[in-house]
Amino acid sequence: MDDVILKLHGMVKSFGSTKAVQDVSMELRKGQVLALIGENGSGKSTLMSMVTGTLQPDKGRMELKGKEYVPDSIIAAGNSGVCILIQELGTIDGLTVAENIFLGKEKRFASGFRVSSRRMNQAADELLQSMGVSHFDAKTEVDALSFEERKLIEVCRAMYNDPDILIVDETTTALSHTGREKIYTIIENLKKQQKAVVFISHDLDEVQKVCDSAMILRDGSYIGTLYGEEVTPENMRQMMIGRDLSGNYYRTKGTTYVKEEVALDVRNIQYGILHDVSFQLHRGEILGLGGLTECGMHELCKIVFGAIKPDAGEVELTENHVKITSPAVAIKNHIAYLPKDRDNESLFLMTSIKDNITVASMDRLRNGPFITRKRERDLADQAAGQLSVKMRDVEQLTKELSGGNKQKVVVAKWMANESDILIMDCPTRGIDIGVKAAIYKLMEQLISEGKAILMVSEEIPELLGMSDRILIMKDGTINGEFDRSEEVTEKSLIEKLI
Amino acid sequence: MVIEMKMKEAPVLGAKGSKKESNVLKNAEWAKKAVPFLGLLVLVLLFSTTTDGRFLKVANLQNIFSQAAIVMVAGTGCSFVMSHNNLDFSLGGACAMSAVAGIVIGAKFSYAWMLPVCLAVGMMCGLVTAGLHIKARIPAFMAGMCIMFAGRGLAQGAYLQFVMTLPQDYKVLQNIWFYFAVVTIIFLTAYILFEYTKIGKYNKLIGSNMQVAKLSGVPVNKYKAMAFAVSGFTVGAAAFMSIIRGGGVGAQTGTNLETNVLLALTLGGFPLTGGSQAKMRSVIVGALVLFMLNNGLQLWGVDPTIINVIKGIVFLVVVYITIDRGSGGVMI
Amino acid sequence: MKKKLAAIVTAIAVTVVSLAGCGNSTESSGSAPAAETEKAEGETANSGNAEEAVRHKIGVILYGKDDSMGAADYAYLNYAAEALEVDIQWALNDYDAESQLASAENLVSAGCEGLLFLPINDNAVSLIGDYCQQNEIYFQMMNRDISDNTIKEATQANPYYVGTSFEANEAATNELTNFMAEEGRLKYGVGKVPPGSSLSVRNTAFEESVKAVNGTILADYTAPSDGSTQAYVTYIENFVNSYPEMDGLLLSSTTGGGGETIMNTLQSLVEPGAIKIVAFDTFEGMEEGFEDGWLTALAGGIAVQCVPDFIMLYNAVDKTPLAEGYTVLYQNFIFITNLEECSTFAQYIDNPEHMIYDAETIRSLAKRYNPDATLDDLVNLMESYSLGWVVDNAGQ
Repeated sequence: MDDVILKLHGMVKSFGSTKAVQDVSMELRKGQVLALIGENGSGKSTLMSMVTGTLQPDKGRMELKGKEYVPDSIIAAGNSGVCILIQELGTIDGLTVAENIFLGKEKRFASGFRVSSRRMNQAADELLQSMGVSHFDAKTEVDALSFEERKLIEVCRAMYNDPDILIVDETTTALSHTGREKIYTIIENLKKQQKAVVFISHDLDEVQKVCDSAMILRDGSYIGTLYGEEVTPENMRQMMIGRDLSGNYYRTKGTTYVKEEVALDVRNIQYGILHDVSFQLHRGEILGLGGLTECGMHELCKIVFGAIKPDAGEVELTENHVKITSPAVAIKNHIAYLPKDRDNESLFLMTSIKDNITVASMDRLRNGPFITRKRERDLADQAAGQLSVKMRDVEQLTKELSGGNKQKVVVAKWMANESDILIMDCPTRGIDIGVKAAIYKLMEQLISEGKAILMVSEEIPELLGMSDRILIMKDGTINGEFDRSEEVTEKSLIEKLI
Repeated sequence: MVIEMKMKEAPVLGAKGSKKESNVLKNAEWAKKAVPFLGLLVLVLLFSTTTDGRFLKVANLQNIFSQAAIVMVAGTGCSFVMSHNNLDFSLGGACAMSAVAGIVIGAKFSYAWMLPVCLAVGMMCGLVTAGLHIKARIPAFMAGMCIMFAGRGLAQGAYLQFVMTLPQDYKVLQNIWFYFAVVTIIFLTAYILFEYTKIGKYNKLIGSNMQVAKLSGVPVNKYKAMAFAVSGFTVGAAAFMSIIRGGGVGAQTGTNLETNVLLALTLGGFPLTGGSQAKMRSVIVGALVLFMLNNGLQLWGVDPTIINVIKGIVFLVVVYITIDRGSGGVMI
Repeated sequence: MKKKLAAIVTAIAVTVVSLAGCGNSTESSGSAPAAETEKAEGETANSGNAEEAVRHKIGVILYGKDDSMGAADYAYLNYAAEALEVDIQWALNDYDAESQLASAENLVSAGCEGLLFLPINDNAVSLIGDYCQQNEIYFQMMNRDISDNTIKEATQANPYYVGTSFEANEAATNELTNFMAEEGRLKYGVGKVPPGSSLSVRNTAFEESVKAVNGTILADYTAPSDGSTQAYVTYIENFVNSYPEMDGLLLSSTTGGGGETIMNTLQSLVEPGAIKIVAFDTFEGMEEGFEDGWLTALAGGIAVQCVPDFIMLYNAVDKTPLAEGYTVLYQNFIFITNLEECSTFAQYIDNPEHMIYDAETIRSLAKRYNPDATLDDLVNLMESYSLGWVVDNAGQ
């Protein structure tokens, strides 16, 4: 037991209604290199922010070397021997390399009131040399350095503290091969010195190579820990993605409403990493679009809706040959878009449910130039009622609703505009099972009425359970297409995904 | 196991819990909205009882309204700009330009032209600000400042060039009924635009969250420009009132209009970052609070240098109470 | 919904109350001060003792009290008010006609029985004049003439107009030009103020005075209205470069750092004394200017004129006016011609601590304290104003 350095008990942290970390416990031993893995938003960074004192937990307690540990800032954590290398840049422009390394510790080089920059530079140079850095020195201003070189400065800063625990938060993704190797060496050394390392990374091969154990989080909850030989990309991937409910709230198998008629034609889209993406969406069809978050599928949604102008290619409404060039054009033609980021992109939080529902339908509510309260209320009441949104009344502020009810409001907004084609980006992300089922049911009802749905999802079971056809994207191109059938399995999708 | 976790992490809020929470929220919201009115009430009571009845004299109340009228009119239009989360710093300069143009053209041709010229020039200033902001992507307050400096310069230059005194015939308009009529007409029209048409609704939504508004099909730039045009129009009206009340145009006409309007809107509880919580009534309440405070303190005989300090403190207190700290954050 | 109702009700209530009885407002508001005055007189009569009477209250509207002129006015008037046992209420920092009117309205509401103000422009005179007439309030202006004839006539016909005062500008320009001519300097550059300015009379007065001494104006400039001093450097450089024969500068205004800038520019361009300056206003560095031979004479010291203005208004408010109708007073300038006079000026005149007119003098011009006081006494006192008189008076 003595070799346990850090112990977390039942850590909980929420942001508003989102539970970022849910009752997570953890033990870290001397000489352990623990990978912390999980999808984006699974709570890794939040958990580590609590360990480094940048966030305060709602519940739970921490023990460091057998003593109660309550860091109130990153500096306090550093003084207790817990250091972190963060994802973003942690250096300050306008200061020299040495000043950045010894930020907050200038006193050590002070004689009287004067800080001796000569001694500080000397110490910094020694540190840089010990890390094998020779192409810049302590007096260089950090502005002149590349991202990678600045990362190395942060490493120096962390190492100067002689930490008992080093947390590496997705640092390596930004680094080149040599940069990574430097970090690996440091981790190796720390391990030899019986220190502990927490390594956060999305690169599962890297994790396998560097770490001796891996803890998996998913949606803020602890899923499990793998040790030694168990740490393989396959095992980790399986635990990361998990297995969702296999119940019957997805579509009944065997039913199809897909028609020949093409609703939307997306041709040769070129934008960012998106490269020559084309597909057709049919009436009565749910077209599933899956991939990793960074594969470009979210941007593709915005392009289809006209919110992003692609560098090349076009989106055409087959019915009347209208090109979708802006959200206004899309909405006029009854296209709806449900963004993934509900709180920032699809809802006015400090605004009433009524206004959120009616915003896209103003032109239909107008009587001459005027929009009366009554017509607005009637439409909002009707749309909210149709989706049975749980609320006081339509004047209630949207931010007071739960995640699921928020999504219902978003759907109600587009129902109110009699949308024909729906682009749904992760429509069930972060919402509870009840609402999830309701949304799936609604989707099925919509396609039975001949509407078309483009559904982007990061959850494989959802893609399999809901789609008539699945497109898998990888690095900006469509990497595979599957029709709805029994033969298509999670495994076959994942192969195309990663 | 995963299923279990998911069930746990998204509990459907019990009726009891959610009700309690929303009641607290409701009370907080209510208190926030009530502050400006309470402030107005407190001022009225305070000054009524401590000035030997001077404050409540009809003539004094009329004075307060006449003094506040220009700020009310300009603020009415400015609230469109503020509701979409921009500050219009052009008000003073635009007012000066409109007033100069109005009276100079009025003197040259006919004073019947004065009002239309004021309104047209005001609106043009609004559109220039909008153009600089939207097309040239200059922050709106900077674009506004350009107009402000230009207007100041024009007024000072014109003051040396022209006689800008209103003929005696027009002094019949220097009475409370005229100010009351203008405020009423402008306010009611603007209120309808603000609450019952796309101009007001869209601008408030843009202020709530521009990205969401865009993704909900709101032509953001068009409606922002309209807000500036409305603001310009009311500044034109304010310029006309300023000519009437000031008996002409001076080198300093319109000075501090933007500050006073901003003060009034804030004192009236208008959210500084715009959005759906914006209410047009804030303009009237705020302007009354501002000028009552000024008037009451002068009735008390408070040293003028201290009056400004007190105004500053009141302003801070109101902002402290009513400001939204972060979206969806705590209210009070 | 309730809140909305409350909002509308409050707003309407306030406006309606303020509008109600608009028609008889003049009588109601106008009668109050008058009644108070009567009461005051009654009490005076009863007790026969002026000191127990109800104190009058006079409102003063001034642009500010932060520059030397404003600070002097502020100090002199507070002192005079104390001497005459009246309350004074200040309204400062109004820079346009509307704000001055608003201040006038608020001061009258606050119970002021008379207004003394420095109008920002002619429109302000007209507005405040009309307002005072409606409310039967006496008003006196200081430091300003009215240039618009319509407004001038209307104001002069206003029974509540006590009068105004202004500087004896023509006399001063003549005097300044004479100082220059006596030194044999006759080739001038003239610094003018913007033509619409209240001081623009100095521009033409200089032209006249130059003719009178048979001098020549080689060039002139008009001071920038935005108060920037940088422009002066260019003006003076142009003068010196284009007119090497120029030997004197006649300056209509040197406030806001103008005087220092011009003197410094001259120092960098020509030998000491090659060009000398006569000017209105006093400024920082004038001691060195006289010592090093850059300055011939300066005219200043007119801030004190607010005191006679205040005395005029006080007598009118006390229902014992010094004169029928309105009165225009002229304020002499004080001339400084050497280093010694600089320090005398600094000690007695440019010093708000020193009261040029003492309490006794002020009281002797108020009929309440001296029933024999006349306008002539006041005019005589003003005419005797000079550097010598101030020093003598202080010595007593």
